[in-house]
Amino acid sequence: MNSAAYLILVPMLLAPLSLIPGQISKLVPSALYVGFGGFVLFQNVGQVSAPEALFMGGWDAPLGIALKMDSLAILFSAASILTWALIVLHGHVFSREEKNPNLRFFWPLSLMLIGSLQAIFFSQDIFNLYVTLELTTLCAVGLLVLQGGRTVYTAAFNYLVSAYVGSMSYLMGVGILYLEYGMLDLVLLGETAEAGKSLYVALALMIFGLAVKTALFPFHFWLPPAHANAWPPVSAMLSALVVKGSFLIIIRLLLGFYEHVSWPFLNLLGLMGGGAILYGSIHAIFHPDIKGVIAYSTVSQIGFMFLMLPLMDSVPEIALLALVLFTLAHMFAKAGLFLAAGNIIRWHAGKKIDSLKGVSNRSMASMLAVGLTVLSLAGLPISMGFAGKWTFLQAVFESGEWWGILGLLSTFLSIAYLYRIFSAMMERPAAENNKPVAPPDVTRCIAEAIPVILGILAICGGFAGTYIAFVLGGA
Amino acid sequence: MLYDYLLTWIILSSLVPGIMIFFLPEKSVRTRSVLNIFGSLVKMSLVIVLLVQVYQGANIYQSYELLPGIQIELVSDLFSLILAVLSSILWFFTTFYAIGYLEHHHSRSRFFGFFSLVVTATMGISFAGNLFTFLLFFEMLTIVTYPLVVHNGTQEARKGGQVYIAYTSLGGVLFLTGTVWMYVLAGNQTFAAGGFVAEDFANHPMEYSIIFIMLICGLGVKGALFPLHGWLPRAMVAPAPVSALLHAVAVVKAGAFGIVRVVYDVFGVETAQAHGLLEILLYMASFTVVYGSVMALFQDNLKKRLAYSTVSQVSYIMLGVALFGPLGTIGGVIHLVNQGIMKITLFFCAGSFAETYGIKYVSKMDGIGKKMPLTMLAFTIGAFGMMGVPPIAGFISKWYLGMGAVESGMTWVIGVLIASTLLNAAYFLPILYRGWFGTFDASISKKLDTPHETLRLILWPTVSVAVISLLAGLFASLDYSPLYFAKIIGMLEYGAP
Repeated sequence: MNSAAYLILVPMLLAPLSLIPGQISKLVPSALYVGFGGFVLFQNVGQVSAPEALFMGGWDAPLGIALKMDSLAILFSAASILTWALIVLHGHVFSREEKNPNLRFFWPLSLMLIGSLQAIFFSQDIFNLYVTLELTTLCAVGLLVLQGGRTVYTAAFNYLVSAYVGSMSYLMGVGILYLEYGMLDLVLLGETAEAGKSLYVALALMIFGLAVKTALFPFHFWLPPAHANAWPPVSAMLSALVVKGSFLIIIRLLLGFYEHVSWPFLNLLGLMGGGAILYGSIHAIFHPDIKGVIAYSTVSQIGFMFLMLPLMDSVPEIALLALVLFTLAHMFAKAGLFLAAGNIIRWHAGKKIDSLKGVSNRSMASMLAVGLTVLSLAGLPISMGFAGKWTFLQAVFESGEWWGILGLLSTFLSIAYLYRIFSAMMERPAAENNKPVAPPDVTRCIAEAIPVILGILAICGGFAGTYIAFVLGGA
Repeated sequence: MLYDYLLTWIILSSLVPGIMIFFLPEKSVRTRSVLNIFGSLVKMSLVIVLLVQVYQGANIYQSYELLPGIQIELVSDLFSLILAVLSSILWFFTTFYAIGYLEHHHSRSRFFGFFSLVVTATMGISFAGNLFTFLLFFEMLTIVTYPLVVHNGTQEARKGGQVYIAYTSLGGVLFLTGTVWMYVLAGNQTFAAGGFVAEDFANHPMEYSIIFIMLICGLGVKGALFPLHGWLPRAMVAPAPVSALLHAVAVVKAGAFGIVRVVYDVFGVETAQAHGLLEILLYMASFTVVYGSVMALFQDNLKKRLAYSTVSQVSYIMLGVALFGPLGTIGGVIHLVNQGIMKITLFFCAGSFAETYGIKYVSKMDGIGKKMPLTMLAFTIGAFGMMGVPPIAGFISKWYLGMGAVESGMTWVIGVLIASTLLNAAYFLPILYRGWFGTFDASISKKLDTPHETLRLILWPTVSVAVISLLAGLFASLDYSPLYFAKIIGMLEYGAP
């Protein structure tokens, strides 16, 4: 078996182990997986120019399931495992003060989640992608309901139903393609499929389904309540990791059917992305809750990722680089921001933006974490988000697609809503903020350090632009 | 090793202490002060080493490829050296001043952490070797000054900060767009004497003209060109050391420095002149010079008056650049230095009055000279310098600007200079009169517990920078004075022997 299969199967096998009661048995499986995953990816990153394919069960494509270690998959896999590891560690220390007995399912579910995400990243088979998408959704919903409470159950129900609609739509597209061409392998399909009504219908169905799962405006309604009300480490996982899975499939479809997909199709996605930016940002600007602002910011940032898609038509290489940089930056930064918000709400302030007064005086680490992640999310230099934005603008000017300038609007809007959080923290402490400053024990130190680490990743990732471009170029 | 990475070391010499300071507990005043002073000493010595190296003919240059084809470049040309030397010296004095000024304030670890980051960004701006690098540090400067502007944490501070962010993000986005467009169009962005688009300009005159305006407006927000100056008076809510740094070497100066770079090293002064772009800048700058002075007349708040004075004075730099001819260039470049030294003196004094006696308004300043003679003397030197009275530094600037105006045949600019000088006198002399000859209001009591006129940590930096602005004028004709470098730049840009 090749190493991609291990990356997928190992966490699934480790998941039951983490149900054994006790602190150590919870953390060890995750730690084992991170070590193992890091080792495997490190071994493979040198061979990016020759992607390795594996045909599960010994069957060759079109019958077998292909797992391929290409550069896109390796980048997403490495970044997601790193982010996931930090989130799980944060969840581990964060859960110590919680009384909620459900939280013991956090470890197995997050192991399953990261395993199925790896399956999404490495799969080349559109039906297998469907299966892994479903698995991801189930784990995500499972994680979401850990928090408990009526709001969360409603949010989880909406999430489940929308995800189900999305999956069905995707599956229908897969069915059409299978009936038409008798194969499920993405690369083979891309080579054999011919432009025509059935291909368009299939692609439209699949991409519609994926767009619902990625929460593209106007199918985003399920996302903000789910992400804003989950347990903070779960919010981080949902916002940073889960939506990237279905988005990567969209990129794969576009790359696979590059020659058959014409511009009106892409422009529609870009247009919806633009709508998402406006809608998400305006909500974020007026939302009273900290986590609500961050959740709506995810809607808006997802919109920006879709806004970049039309550029794949004219300047594919630069556009892909911009997409990857922006998406990975969002992964680190959003995880960091949600975790920092969780810390702040627990130890320093309330749920409302107005209660953030004086947080910068209480916790330097929280201020730095919010500061660093906000920089990257708003695309300000020097950060990975900035590298993505710069590359995006470069693609806009090189392709002559002047509408792309409107992407700058998203910079203003994101500065506006992220500024709310940061500026509130810088105000003088409110007199009524009586939360006692707990003595900084080890638990809290780790919990507050992790968002800072994620923030540093979101900043320093900006220096890896050339390397990422090199890795992608080898694809 | 030391010399190869010298520019990086200089940048790190304030970045590292800055990051360490963030994590210091609030109470460890001594460690924090030691770190601050150590950092600024190391930076000054490294800058001196750099000067010596460059003088010996070494070409110190570094680059790192951030994105495919996009380099972070650090260079040490004459422009870089002028700003680097100026800011490392002024940072040194401001550090002492800030330690004294903030003795009884809150959140000092936060303050000094960001304070060091501001200087890091300023150093980055001075060493930036291409537009992209300049943009990186320019935006970093915006971000790290914000926490300092709102440091007091009041509603007023928050509003000031909001205006600051609104203006600068507008400027930042304009500058970013211009920079990307320039890169895609010209395929290059490394600063070069005489400009790197000089030859390509004729192929896309329309596009390049738009880019020029975008870049100038983006930079003009920070450089406080009318009508983009609105944030500056509002940002006066910041503590005095911050205002001093903001006006003398950091934000406002970064905008002016950027305009100098764009005109000389991106477009080339001759190309800009030939296509009528300099003329736009000339009119904007002239108007701002007069406008700022007129507005300053009506401000009772001392810091606001000084802020409008900055609006006016910084445009002298742009004016010098826009006057086509070596003498104008010399005037503009030398004013980059002189304005910094004199303005920091004035702000130190203003902060000192406010901190010692709580005097923030001009109308309350009667007789302060009798209580704080040394501070008032420093203020007087700064104010006379701003008016252009010889032998203080400001006179040198005005002299060269005037000669530049004659040389380029723009005699009406002399009218602007005279008008501005008269207005300078009109808003500075009343302050001096009140300070020296008014009667002190006995009901105002001293807020600081010190036998001297004010804390020594506040007093001596103030006096030192006043002395420097006197020396910069007196010894302007010596070799290795700021004027000497400005003259070399003037000669290089116009290819004169």
